[in-house]
Amino acid sequence: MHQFILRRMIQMVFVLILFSVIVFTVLRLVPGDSATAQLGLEAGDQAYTELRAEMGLDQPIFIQYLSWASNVSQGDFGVSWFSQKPVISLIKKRIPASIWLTLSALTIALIISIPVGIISGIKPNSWIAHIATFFSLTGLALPSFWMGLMLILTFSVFNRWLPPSGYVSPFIDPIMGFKHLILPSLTLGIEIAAPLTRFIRSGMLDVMNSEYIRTARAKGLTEYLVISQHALRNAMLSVVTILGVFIGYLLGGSIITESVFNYPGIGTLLLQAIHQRDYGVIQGIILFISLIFMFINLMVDISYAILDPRIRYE
Amino acid sequence: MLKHKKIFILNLYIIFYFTLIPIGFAKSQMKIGLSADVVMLDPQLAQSGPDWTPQSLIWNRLVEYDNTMMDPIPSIAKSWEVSKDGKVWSFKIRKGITFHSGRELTSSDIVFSFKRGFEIGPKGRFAGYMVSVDSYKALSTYEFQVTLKHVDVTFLGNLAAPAAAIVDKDTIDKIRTEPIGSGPYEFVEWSPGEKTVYRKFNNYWDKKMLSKIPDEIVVIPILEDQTRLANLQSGNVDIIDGVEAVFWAQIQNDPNTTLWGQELTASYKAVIFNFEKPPFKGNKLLRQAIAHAINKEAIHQTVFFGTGEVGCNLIPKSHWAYTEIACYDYNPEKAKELLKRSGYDTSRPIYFPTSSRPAYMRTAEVVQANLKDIGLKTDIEPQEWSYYVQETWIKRKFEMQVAWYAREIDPDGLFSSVLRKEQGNNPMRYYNPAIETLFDGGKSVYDREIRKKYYEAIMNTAILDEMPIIKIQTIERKWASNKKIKDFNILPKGLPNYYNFKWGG
Repeated sequence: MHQFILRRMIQMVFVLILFSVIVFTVLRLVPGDSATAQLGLEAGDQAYTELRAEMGLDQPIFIQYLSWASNVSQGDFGVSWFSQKPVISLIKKRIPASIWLTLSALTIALIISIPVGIISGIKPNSWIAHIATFFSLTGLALPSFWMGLMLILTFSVFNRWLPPSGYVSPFIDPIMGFKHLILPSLTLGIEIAAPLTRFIRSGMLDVMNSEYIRTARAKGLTEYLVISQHALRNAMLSVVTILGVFIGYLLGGSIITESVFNYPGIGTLLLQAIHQRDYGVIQGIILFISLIFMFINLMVDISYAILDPRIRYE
Repeated sequence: MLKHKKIFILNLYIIFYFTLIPIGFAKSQMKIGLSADVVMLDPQLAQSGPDWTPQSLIWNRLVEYDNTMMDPIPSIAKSWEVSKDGKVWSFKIRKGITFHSGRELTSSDIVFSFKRGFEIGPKGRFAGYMVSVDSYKALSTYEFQVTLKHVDVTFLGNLAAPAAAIVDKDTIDKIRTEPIGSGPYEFVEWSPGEKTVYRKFNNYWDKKMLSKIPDEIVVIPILEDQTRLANLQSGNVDIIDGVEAVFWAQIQNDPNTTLWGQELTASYKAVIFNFEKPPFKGNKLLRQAIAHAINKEAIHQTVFFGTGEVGCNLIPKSHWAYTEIACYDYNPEKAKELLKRSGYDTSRPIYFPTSSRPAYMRTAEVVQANLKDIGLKTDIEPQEWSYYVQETWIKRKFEMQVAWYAREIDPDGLFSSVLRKEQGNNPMRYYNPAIETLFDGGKSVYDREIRKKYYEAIMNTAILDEMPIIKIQTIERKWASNKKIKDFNILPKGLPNYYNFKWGG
């Protein structure tokens, strides 16, 4: 197991390097750069050329990459061209907000999807299953920005119960912090609950038809034990995989939902940086997001071994 | 025991609330929701609209804009005199103005700021505003003099431009992270994408202004239009910018909100043509055909919901320099005839790239439909903003495009940078030596009646005949606030006059 983890870590380094090359190159091939973002419309060609030189953007891409990569390898991710703040500190500042949103959205998603998914998996033709299918299809079809806006209208404009946007750290002000989290996490939670329910349902359906469930029933176990000990654990294997993807998605910032709620997470930071072509910040965030995904994938692989003792990484 | 503990905690809460609430109320805070975040804190490098807030709040200029932007009011300069030939301007500096660091502002700071502004050159806006300056010097600690190359009636007004901020030479290295100025507000912090905080500078020289403004201003960038409005309606912010015309009636009918508009606007939307290459280079009839084909009234109703003023005149109707000119009417038949005479091969589509922002796209779509009616094909290409700025505006890869100008209100400021040679607002690369002379003439006399004639002549040639630009209509910019804001003025530029508002919260 240790060897497996070590091997994966080494692989991660190579993937990161390859990934950073791709991101770096693609970013610079997209028209528009930090100079256009700073100068706007009225400055003209000369200013544009001068500023590009000042930013080092007139250098060949591979030279730009090498200087960036050598800084990064020494732990220096550079500064944002516009705010002159270190990229690391910008990301660090957004992480708590993203973690809170991830945890609360995930909680909502799991609270909805686990019971509904299990019940509709066990009893695929019951009315609960039909209602669940209806709602999860609706959830899949609803665009999150629309749902976000409807929630804002209902809970912040027509009834002033909840703040329409922003973030307050729950450590500083638990009540306000909680209130700020409700709407965005509800939007994201419902968005994720829909596919998650369907995954759990189909996982359960598969498992319930398998022979070891029949065996378990045949040896006289109660239905509760059959489901909780035999079925659920096996069904969870595929769910854990998809859950990993969702956690990565949430931590890496769900750009649309964060923008609708003006939520200062990683997603809005990335969006702003893309608009301004703030290369250092974009590259920093993308490396951060890919690290998260790789780490979560590793966790998912490890959890396989725990969920299913037959899986061994040797 | 447990009961006692509960009572103890309850007590703590009560003490906490009653000690903290009064402190919270003693400090008044105004929250502004803006459609974009600050880009650049350095006022001499800043170029974009959202940078206006730090530029206005943190720094002073020699003079500041009044509400009309036509009569600059004294600021750092207490008074000024002009020599008889109109070329030498002497400014008396107000004594006792201090930077937020506590150091007194003197004429050496003004010399420093001018020098820095010219060194920055086209990367900032200062040098562009000060083109007519020949030399400048400090006469004494409290006197500053500028000599112009020739008479320039826009000079004084241009000193109020945001880029003409007087910066602190001692802290210039930190201007982009911890800026220090002499304005009514001190910079507290900028969390990119989250908020910018300013605190009232109690040593500010204008005590009358100090009594009208809040202790703290927090600017929150809220990019989504709907979310921004929801923040105002739910009381989360006190005032918002960029209110779309669809919401105007709703805000006016709400007893809790006020809609703030402009008396005069210097923003306008237009269609512009590339003069560097065919098909529009050297084909006046084709441009004129398009002028007859565009249904401005339809754009007025569908894109701008009936707001703004339709017309080809670059000067708005209520402006002192306005004169009636005979704009081309909407006449598809005449357009078809002109198109035929222009000899343009109608099977070839015109390349029509545009910013993907809704107001650009919707205008472009109506224009496309209008041109289709007369048998002209167009290829609209929606472009993301940075892409559009680089490819279409700076590199000028377009045949025609929709442009949005937000200019100064002096007639020279309104369109000289649009029609003069190689100016930033002239991606058409339109050039006519006669027009250049007329612009120079218009800037060199103070008599408004004479100036009017110059601009009328420019319009007769450029707008009615050669037509590098077809103005569609003016754009009104509106802000909305709750009732805590008692008075608020929006400059013709579309930006707020932070030197003239009243807070009652």
